[in-house]
Amino acid sequence: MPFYVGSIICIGSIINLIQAATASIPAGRRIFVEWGALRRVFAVLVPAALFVIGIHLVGIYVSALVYIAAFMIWIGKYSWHKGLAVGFGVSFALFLMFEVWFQVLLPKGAYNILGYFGY
Amino acid sequence: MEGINSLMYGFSVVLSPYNMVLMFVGVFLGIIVGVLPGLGGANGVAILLPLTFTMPPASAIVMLSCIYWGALFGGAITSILFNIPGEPWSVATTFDGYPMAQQGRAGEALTTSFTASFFGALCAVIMITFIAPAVANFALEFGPPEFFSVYFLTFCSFIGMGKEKPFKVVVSMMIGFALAAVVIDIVTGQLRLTFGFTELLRGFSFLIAVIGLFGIGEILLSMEEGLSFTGKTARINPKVVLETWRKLPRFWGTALRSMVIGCWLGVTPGGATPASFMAYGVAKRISPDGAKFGTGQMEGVVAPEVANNAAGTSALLPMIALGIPGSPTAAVLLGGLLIWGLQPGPLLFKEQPDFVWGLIASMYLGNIATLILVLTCVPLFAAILRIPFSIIAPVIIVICAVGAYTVNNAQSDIWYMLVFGVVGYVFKKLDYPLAPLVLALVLGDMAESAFRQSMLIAAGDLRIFFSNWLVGSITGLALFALFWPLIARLIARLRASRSEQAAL
Repeated sequence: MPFYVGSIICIGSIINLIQAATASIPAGRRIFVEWGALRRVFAVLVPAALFVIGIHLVGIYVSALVYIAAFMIWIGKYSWHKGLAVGFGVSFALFLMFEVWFQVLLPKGAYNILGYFGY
Repeated sequence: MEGINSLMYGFSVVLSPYNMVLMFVGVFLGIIVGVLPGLGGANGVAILLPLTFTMPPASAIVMLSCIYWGALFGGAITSILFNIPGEPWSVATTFDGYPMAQQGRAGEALTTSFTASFFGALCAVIMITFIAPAVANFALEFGPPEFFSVYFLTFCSFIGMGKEKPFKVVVSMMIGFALAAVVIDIVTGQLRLTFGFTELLRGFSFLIAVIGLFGIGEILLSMEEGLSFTGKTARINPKVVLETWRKLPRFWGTALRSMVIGCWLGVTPGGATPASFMAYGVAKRISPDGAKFGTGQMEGVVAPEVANNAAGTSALLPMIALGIPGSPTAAVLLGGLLIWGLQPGPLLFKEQPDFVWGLIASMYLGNIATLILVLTCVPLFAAILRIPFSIIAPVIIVICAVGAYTVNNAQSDIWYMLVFGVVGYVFKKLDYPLAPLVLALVLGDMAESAFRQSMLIAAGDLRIFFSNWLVGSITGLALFALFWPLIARLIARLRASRSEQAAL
């Protein structure tokens, strides 16, 4: 089965390539993505990857707090106390919802800071 | 009459205080999910699915389906007030909805859209109530060849009826099949496509794919566009609602036509998005005010909203009756069934009447609840959209990560989610559709086992798919759908040459 699936992907892609190469593209759509736009995309993607690494290290709650705060301060240009407040609020709400009310355990990472508070 | 009795039974299941609370919570979350960019019906339901693991299945499906109704209604709020469709199916609503808001008739436009949505959904639910049990009964006779031909019809109608280029749909669908094929060969029980990586032994969960492709992909796309939301304010008071309701009955013809289009495209897996465009197009052609469409006509809001809700709701018919989802959101609900330990398929009506009739009854109540909530809380939901994107974006990514983790309690799934997000972003930029990938990932295993069982029955003879009138007609219909683009081109060419002859 996987063989046929793979073959159809290859054939389909070749046809798409031919169609794309022979089609006339309107002038505004020639560039896949502008540099400025790409930078904005990476501004989301790279911190998101760091956030996921953070989940492995310090767990999802602490990592989310730092991530939201850092994103707001550096990319959103908010003052640091606003960023920290929103970050803390969101991860505290998540904590209440999952850990306390619905009792679904989320990862707390290799270095569990919340362990000091009894969780 | 049997339908009505069963429905009353369903209401008795749903009408407990616990379920009613869940219903309102679901609708409320659903509207928020529909309003926020990056969260839609499919991934909203996928993220909240883990919260329902401990609930009884009937309550869980009530909450999740209500999230879906909320998302179907909520998409219209952003289209009308901000000219940003919150969901792909509300793009057509912006054509006339936003001009109405610009003229200061936002309240009127919203009331029109909500009422039209309600009408469309209600008609579709009535249809489901009476047709779904019959379809399920009929499908009890199905063997593997019949089931495969229905799957085949689903896949072919995506290829032939979609807006995107057919071969792009094929490639996207086949990538879904390839991902579905990872881990176990269902007939021989051998491992396949794991390449010796133990991490791959869990396979790819389509819930992760949905969260990544639709959630993260959408965030990346909106970030690239650097959105800033500037919208109209709306206030809805009872006077506006009543005045609008007095004007609405004039458009009953448009509403009925759009309802039929919506139900049809919803049951055959076309989905809500093409339904809304088609209904808008048809209304524009038939209406006496057709030329004024696009300048803020109420009729131009009625048509797409009736159609997309009718389609979105009736997409659940094949999911309930046959176990075959008609849209990504229906696929997520189907995944939920499996997790709650229910076997989707025609037997569901016989084995789990609580669940099925509870779900159908909750469709009636959920839509009423949604109508009440949206009419009373519009300013609140519009305020959510005024939160700057640099706060919304990280919060949504965190929520997506939580959702991705809780599906299997696996941290590597969060990485898969990010990768799927990048794939989703690139696919969207290149006009590859995402829905076929998700459906193929969900249905891949089932379609493959149906196909291989029929091959075993027939000793490898493909003619089994034409062996009786039932399979034969479904397979024939599927092939017709598959080659529809070619057939349509042929008809257009014939017509063109005939009109040339007429001109001569």
